[in-house]
Amino acid sequence: MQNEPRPTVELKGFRDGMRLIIDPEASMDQIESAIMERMTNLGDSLSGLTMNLDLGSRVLNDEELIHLKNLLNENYGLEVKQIIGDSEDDPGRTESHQIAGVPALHGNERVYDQFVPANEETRFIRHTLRSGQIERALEGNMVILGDVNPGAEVVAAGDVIVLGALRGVAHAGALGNTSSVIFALNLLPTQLRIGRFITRAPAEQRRRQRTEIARVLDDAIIVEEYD
Amino acid sequence: MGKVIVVTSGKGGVGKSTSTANLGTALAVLGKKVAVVDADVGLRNLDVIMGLESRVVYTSMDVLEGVCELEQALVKDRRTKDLYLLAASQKNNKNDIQPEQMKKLCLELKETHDYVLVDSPAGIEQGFQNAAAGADDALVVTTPEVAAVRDADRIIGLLQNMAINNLTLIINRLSPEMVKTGDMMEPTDIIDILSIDLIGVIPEDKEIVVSTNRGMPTTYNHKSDAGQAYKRIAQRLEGEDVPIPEFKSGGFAGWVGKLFKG
Ligand SMILES: Nc1ncnc2c1ncn2[C@@H]1O[C@H](COP(=O)(O)OP(=O)(O)O)[C@@H](O)[C@H]1O
Ligand SMILES: [Mg+2]
Repeated sequence: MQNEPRPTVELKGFRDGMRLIIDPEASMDQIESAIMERMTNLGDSLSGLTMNLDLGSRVLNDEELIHLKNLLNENYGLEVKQIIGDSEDDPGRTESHQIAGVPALHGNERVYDQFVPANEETRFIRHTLRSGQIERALEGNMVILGDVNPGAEVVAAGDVIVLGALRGVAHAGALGNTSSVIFALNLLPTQLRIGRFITRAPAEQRRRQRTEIARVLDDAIIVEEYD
Repeated sequence: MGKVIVVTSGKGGVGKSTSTANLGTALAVLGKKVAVVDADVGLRNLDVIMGLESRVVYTSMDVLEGVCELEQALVKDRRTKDLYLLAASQKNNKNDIQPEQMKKLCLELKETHDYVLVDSPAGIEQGFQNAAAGADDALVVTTPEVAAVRDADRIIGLLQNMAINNLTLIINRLSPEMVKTGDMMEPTDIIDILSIDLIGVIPEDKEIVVSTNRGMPTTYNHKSDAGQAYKRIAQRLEGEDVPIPEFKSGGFAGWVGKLFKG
C-alpha cells in the first residue's frame, strides 16, 4: 500500500486535548495556508476551546510562534494551551518551559494515545439541548438522549447520535474524520457538517417523522432513511 | 405561604406585561391575594397597563434602599379586593438591583400573598436574572413565531439551570386564520420543540390594545376572547381542570384537552 503524503497540518483529538500537528519540514507560509484550508468549514465549531500545538522536531522562533498563536486565536477563537516539541537543539525552550507566553512540553513527555477507534470515548448528554446551548465531544462520539433544538449545536470528533429530534446544527468528524456519521430519530436539522463538508436543510417542510443517517459520499453529505 | 411565579419570554413585545396584568387580575377576581411585581427596571409599564400609574409613590428600589416599608410601596388596585402592584423604578437601571435583593423581596411578599407574579424584562441578562431570582415557578410566554419560540427555548434552558423546573407555556397572539394559511406556527409544533406543558392559548385580540390604553385589563371584559382565556389560565393555576379550547378561524370550536398534559 502506498503511503499518503503527510499533510502539512493535522487536527487530532488526544487524551490531553486537541492538537494541531505541524509537518516539521513545511515552511511558515505553507503552514499558514494549510491551517486556513483545514479550518475553513469548521465555522465557529471550535471557538472558545484550547488546543496544543505539536511542532515535532520543528523549531520556531518567538515571533513565528506568536504569529501562529494569534492566527489561531483571532480567526478561529482557539487558544493555544501548550507547545509540544521534541527538538534536541532548542534547550532554552525546555528550560524555561515558556514560549511566547505558552508553556512548552518536551517531546519526551508526549502522550501518544491518539484518537483511534480502540480508545474512542462516547459522551452522553441526558437532556434536550436548547437554543444557545452547545455541547462538544472532541475525544470521540456524542449521544444525545433528547432533542437538539433550533439554535443548539452538537459537535463531536466522531459520530453524533441523537435519540430524539435534531433541529439545530450537528457537526460530526469535527477534527476532520469524514467517515463519521450523524444519526437522528427525527432528522430536521438547520445544518449538518461532517468533517469539512456542510449541508443545509431542504426548504420543504416535512410533517412525518423520519429516522435518518447522514454520511459523506463522493465529497458530499448524503442523507438516507435508516431501517 | 404563597408562590412566586416569574412571567418571562426572552423576546420583547410578546405579551409578558399584558399576561402579568391580566393573570394577576384574574387570580384576584377568583379571591386570591395577589401581588404583581414589575421587574422591568428603567422601562416600567405594568402600572400603566393596570391603570395604576398615577397612584405609584414608591418603587421596589425605594424598599431596597430603606426609603419606605414594603407595605407602603404596594399600590392597591381598587377595582378588585386583594390585588397589589409593586412598581419598578424608572430612574435606576437593571444593574442597580442584585438577584439576592429581588429574592428577598419575593420571599417577603409570598409570606403575605397567595401569588406573587413577577413581570420580567426581555433578554437573558441581569434584568431577567433578577426577575427569576426569587421564583418558584415560571410562566413562559411566546407568540407563534419562529424567533419568539427560539428565545423561549433559550429562556427555558436558563430557568432549568436555575433549578426552576415547574415551567408552563402561554402561547399569545394566536391568529387562527394565519395558522390555517400556514403563516404561523401551530401550537402542537411549538409544544413539540419547547417540551413543556401548555397552560393556555391567548388569541390575537384588539381588545388588548384598547384595554391597555384604558388601563383596564381585558379580564374585566366578558366579551373579550383574550380576557376569557386569561381567566381560564388563572383557573388552571388554581388547579382546576379547564380544557383549552381549540382556536379555529371565526371563533372557538372543539376542544383539545390533549395539549394540556399537566
Ligand atoms: N393577545 C394579544 N392581542 C393583541 N395585541 C396584543 C396581545 N398581547 C399583547 N399585545 C400587544 O403587544 C404589545 C406588547 O405586549 P407587552 O405585554 O407589553 O409585551 P412584553 O411585556 O412581553 O414586552 C402591546 O402593545 C400589547 O397591547
Ligand atoms: Mg413588558
